[in-house]
This record gives sequence, C-alpha cells and structure tokens, in this order.
Amino acid sequence: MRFILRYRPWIVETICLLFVVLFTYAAVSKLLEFEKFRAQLGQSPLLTAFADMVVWTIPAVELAISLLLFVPRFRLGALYASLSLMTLFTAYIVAVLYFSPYVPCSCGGILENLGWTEHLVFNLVFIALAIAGIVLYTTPEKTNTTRV
Amino acid sequence: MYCAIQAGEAENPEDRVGTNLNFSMMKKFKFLLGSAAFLVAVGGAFASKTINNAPSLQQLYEEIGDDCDPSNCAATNTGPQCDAVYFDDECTDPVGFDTFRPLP
Repeated sequence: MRFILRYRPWIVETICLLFVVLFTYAAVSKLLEFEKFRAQLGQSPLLTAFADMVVWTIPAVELAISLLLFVPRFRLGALYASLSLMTLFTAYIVAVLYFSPYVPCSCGGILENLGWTEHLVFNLVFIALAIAGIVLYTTPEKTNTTRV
Repeated sequence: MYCAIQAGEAENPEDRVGTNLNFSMMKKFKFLLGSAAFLVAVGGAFASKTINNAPSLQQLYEEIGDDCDPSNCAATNTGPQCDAVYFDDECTDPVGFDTFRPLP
C-alpha cells in the first residue's frame, strides 16, 4: 500500500499511457481499414441501424480521449470517459456473445485476432485499470506539511 | 507554528528554483513519454495493417432450400449459427472456413 501511495503519480501516468496506446492504436487501425470497419459494423446484429453514425463516432471518441489524457486538467474526465467506453465495449461483447445469433468482429488491428473470451478478459483488465487510475488520481495526496 | 517542508514552500529561494526546475523537467519528460506512446500506437496500427491480409470481408453464400443466398456469416463471424457450409459465389465452390477465419 505504501508502495502504491509513494509511486501513485507514476502509476496513474502509466495507466494513462496504456490507454493512450490502446485508444490511438484502435482508432488509427479502424480509420486505416475504414471500409472494412464499416462493413463489419453493417453486419453487426445490434448496430446495423446506427452503423453510419457509429463508424465515425467510435474512432473520434477514442482519439479525443487519447488527447485529453495528455492534459492534466482534463485527465480525470478522460479516465472516466475511458472507463465508460471500455464498459460500453464490454457490454456490447457480452450482448453479442449471449444474445446474438452470430458473432461478428468489429475490432481494429491485432485485436481482431483475439477470441471473444480473450477480448472480454482484455477489456475487463482495462476496466480495472481505469478504476484504479480514477481511485489513485482522486485520493488526496499525503503531504509532509505539519503544524506544530 | 507552521513548518513548511513541503516541496516548493522551502524558505531558501534557491531550493524553490531547484524544485521549479525539477517540476518543469518532469512535465517535459511526461509530455515526451506521452508523445512517444502516441507515435508507437500510430506506428503499430500501420504495421499491423500490412500484416493482416485475411480475406475477412469476403461475401459468403449459403444454400437455403434451392436458393443460393448471401450469408450473414463472414470470415470474422463465429458462433454455432455460422457452422453451415459456405460458398464463395453462386454456391458452386465450398469455402474452407477454417483456412482463413482469424478467430478460434
């Protein structure tokens, strides 16, 4: 516990960097293979009706969160946004896995090569990281200032 | 009595200059680290695009009765509903699903 509190700023920094890498990678992969991403969303059993909107919204939101994680003023908000987005993705995976007749993959880059269970575990790890980042970021810093 | 030994509140102005310098360097370092992470992610995305050549968007067809209809199942689809025999076109040549499906 003391270790975590001592290195708290660096742990938060590392978590933010991981999210920057994840979201930037995912967004750029989707934009590079835009037509493929659009077609996959069009095949989605849950998102077909919103495919045209979602196809732009997801990469834009991912890139926006990545950039906001750089700015200390918006960092907490960006961590909350990361948590929300990862929760949304996870809910989608669970919905598709359990309630859909077929399972399309609309993920970008090498994430497409993950099986659905692995993808679920991957998302859950990042949800845990986002929660840890929020908790550590909002924990009041213990200062050395003392009143005698 | 107030004992300020917190960083930046030192009595000695030189200490304060040192602390500010440290803080500024740390800020620069964090910015560089973030930029490096951003660039690595963009580079990784470009790199993985050239590696992934799976024909995952190929439109597959399936026989439903006597008809040959476009299937909702594609190379990236998995699940028990996509276990039928699929064809590449006009339902003449069956497609070996396992040969290119990237998911287990």
